[in-house]
Amino acid sequence: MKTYLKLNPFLFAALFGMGLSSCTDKIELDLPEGERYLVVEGWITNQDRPHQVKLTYTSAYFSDAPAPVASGAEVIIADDLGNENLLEETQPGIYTLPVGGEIGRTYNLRIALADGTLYESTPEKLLQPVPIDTAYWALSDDEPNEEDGEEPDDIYEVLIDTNEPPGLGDYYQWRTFLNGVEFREPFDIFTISDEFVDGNPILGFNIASKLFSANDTVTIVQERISRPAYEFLAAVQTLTAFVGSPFDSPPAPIDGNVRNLSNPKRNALGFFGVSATDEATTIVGVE
Amino acid sequence: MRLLTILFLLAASLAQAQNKVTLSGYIKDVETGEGLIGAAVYVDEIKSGAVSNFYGFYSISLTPGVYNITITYLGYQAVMKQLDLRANITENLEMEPDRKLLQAVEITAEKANQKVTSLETGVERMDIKSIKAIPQFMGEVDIIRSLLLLPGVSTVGEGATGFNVRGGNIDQNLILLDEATVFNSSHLFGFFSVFNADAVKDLTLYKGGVPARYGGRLSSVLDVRQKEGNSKEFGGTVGIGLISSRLMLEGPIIKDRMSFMIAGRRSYGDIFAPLVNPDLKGNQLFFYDINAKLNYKINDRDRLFFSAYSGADRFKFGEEFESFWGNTTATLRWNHLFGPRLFSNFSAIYSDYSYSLGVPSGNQAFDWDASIRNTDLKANFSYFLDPKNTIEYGAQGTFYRFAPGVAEGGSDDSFFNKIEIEKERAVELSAYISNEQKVSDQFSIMYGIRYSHFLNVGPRNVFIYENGIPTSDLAIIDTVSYSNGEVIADFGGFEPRLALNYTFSERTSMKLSYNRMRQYLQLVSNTTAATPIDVWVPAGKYVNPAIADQISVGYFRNFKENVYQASVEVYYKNYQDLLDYKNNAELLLNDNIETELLQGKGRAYGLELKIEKVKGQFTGWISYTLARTEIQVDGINLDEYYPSNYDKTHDMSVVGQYTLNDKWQFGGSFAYMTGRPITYPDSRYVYEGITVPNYVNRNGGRTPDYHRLDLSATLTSQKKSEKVFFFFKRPEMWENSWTFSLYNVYARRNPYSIYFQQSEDNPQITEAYRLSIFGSIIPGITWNLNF
Repeated sequence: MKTYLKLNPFLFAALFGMGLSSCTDKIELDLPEGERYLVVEGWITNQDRPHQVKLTYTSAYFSDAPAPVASGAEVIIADDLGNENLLEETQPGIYTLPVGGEIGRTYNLRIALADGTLYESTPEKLLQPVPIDTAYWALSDDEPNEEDGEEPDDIYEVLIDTNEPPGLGDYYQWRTFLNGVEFREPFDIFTISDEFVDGNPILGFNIASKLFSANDTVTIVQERISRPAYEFLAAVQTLTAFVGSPFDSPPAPIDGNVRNLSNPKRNALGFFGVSATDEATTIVGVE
Repeated sequence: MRLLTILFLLAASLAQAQNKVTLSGYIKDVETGEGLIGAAVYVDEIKSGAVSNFYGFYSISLTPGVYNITITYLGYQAVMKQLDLRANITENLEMEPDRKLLQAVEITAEKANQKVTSLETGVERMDIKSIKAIPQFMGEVDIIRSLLLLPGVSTVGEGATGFNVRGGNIDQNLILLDEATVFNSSHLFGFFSVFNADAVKDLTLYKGGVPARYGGRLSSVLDVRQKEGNSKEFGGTVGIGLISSRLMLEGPIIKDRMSFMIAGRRSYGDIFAPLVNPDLKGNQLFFYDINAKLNYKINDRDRLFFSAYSGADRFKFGEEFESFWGNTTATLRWNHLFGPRLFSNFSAIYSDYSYSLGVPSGNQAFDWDASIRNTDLKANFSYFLDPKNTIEYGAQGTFYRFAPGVAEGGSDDSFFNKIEIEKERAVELSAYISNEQKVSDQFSIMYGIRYSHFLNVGPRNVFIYENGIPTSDLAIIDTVSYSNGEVIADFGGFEPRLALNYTFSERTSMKLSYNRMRQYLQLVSNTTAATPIDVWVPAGKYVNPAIADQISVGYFRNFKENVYQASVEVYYKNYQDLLDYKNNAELLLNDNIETELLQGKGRAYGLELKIEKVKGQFTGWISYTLARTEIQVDGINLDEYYPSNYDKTHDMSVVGQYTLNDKWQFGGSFAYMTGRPITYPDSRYVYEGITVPNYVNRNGGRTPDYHRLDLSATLTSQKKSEKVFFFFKRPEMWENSWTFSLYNVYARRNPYSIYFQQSEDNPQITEAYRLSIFGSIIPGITWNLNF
């Protein structure tokens, strides 16, 4: 109920106004498979840890198998000083850079597939991170929602305080980790632009919109990202979470930022992004 | 206003040029005094005649002599008169409603071949009486839902705002309520329309062959006229239904000279919903409408009308979300006769559509308001030159103010900034002249031209983009300030209108029409169905007005003394500069919305068939439309043509009404249509564990077909009553009725959309879902009392 309401107040309102409800059924459908595209997934941050780039391919919509991987490619992350780092394929289709990025540098990704096709991402700059002042827990006013998998003792919410730096044009993504595991379903993607909050202190901001129980370790990661990254993530969420009702956007292709140097009509899907991150952790119920 | 002065001079000079005598007057309902729109006045001797206008006025100029005239109007008893015409005569005629459906056939049928002989192509007229006989969704009589049963009129889906006419988007319909523009015709997002059937007298929908007096929208004109109010006696209607309750009162203030009508309705789904589901308690959701009209006959030459409407939807879910939207209109009209042959009308109109939404409290509280306001001045003249020529001309000026949005934090601890999108102002000026000419007994022609001019004016700051192309807000290189009234951009052009009728016999005719329309404001919506908060974008520095040319040809044939009326029409429409938006565009609260817009072209063509039985115990129609609508926009769908969201290949309706006796009346309707275009994924990919569908072909697939059967039964009991009811004196006849209806009788789960999602349990598995707005049979019951 709660999720549904949040998702689509309009449809809900219309039916509610008549005391009716809509219905949804799972159906079987035959879909022809379209052409195959390369899919790029990868982020480089200022954190000093290994970073990964995943190369896969699109597959038939109802294939129900893991995405086919693109193995044996030459993958390079280059910066604006001319440094080139060749990534090592540590697992099939997963290419690893052992270190993090440097604040102020601009990075891009270059790929040469085994068949010789060349790809290159649009360069992105690693900006100055915006720090989270604090993350803390509080008793929530909301009741646990069992339909969303919450338990009766999930009665706390986790909030953060941060300060949005003055000057329009900043974009953010937040990730929430519970005991080290990220919430990463379509609804969990949380991105904003500073258009409505520019230069303001943001206090008591409820990122996760989830309830927690005592002794949960909750980590919030605040990522400062580029505008293309923000637009990409927002589109992914629109097409995966906000679907189906009359008041959702009709489906459309999502442009990524990795283009095919050999054939401009066959650009890769996905995104190679650069983010400046800061994180804060709280243990729920512990002062 | 040099133009107006010229029109006045022209009017005066024409009024003096009288070398014939004129028969003119008003045609009214004998019981209510309401003017009858479109009644035919037929002069036997010249085998020709006239039709009453929107105020019930008619005029015919003839050489002096004795004439037999017949006045016919569907649902009324025909009136026949012999008149000795030596000088100008004013003949006000009152017609009696025809309650005995069968008897009247013989009298009226002969001259009731107006569908064949008129110049109108693609024009649909419906009176409220016939709309009420169609089964209605949850018993709520709804004009726009009833229009959907006509050929060439469709909707994206159940619960979608507005309607689509001959391949036109919903913003291409000029919707007028007593001449005032209604920007959003829907309540509850499209389940109901804003027109309270108790307050409406008559409606006309022009799908093609649009007369020169209308302009500003590409596809259609829906002209809705409110009741004037009974000028003979007090009366009213009370209605109680599942969705709403209604009250309408009307009556004379000064008998035969001044009357009023006032009507109100409010829905109450929010009151009953918590009984079914207690979780819904404390929420609010309702819509309401208030209609009012006052008319005053000053003398035989001058009449004044004042009409007003206000309606809105309001809802609030606890502290999470609240919203409001509504239309308000007011119209003041003055009818003046410069002589028996020159009828004029002057109107001053105000219309406002506004909405707000927000989160009522807490630190994420915000409030967002937006509105479109327009004021209109109009002058319209009809000059009845002779029985062969009726000239119409006039001018119109509209002043718009668009306030696309102000959003701000709603409480002290809110962390939102105030965002205000700059207001836009515009002026639309137009003038038109047309003549309806009967060239011979067989051949008549209507030719007209309209000129319109649109000025987007300051005060406003306008962004200048690199190379003059608004590719992105990053391409802004400068801002130019325009002062109050300074022209930012202007557009204009001629809009020719033409209609031909060749009548082979009293039963058969062939018609052709052409019209060009210009539209200066367009609605952009990046949702499948329009929402109340979609943005109206006026033509301006970066947006061109849209143009549509339509040509249509029709064949009309009546059978069996005009009891059966059949028509076949084909149309072709060509669109220029239709507005569309980029993939994944952000349209709301965007102060450089031009960077998200694209303009393209479109084409629509189709075939419409209709056969209707208009009289007898059993009436109804079958309509069928075969159509295609396609849009081509550079940057979308690899620059190829794609079907529009509302493209329906086949669309069929069967509507029947059966009157068993004075007590029982039954209605049924069946609708079948091809599913709407929808985009299916070509493939899928995984990004950070989320399975993303890859959509390539815009609107390449279709939802399964839609079909639905509705039934209704009305039980009317008539009782003579001698009692006094409140302040009404001894009503002669009280009539109360029960209407029972069933919507979606065989409970089909018609798909509104098919959508794709990863499985909740395993993101690797992807699934397709069908959303049906209604999954079951929906009963309705309404009680009505007419007094």
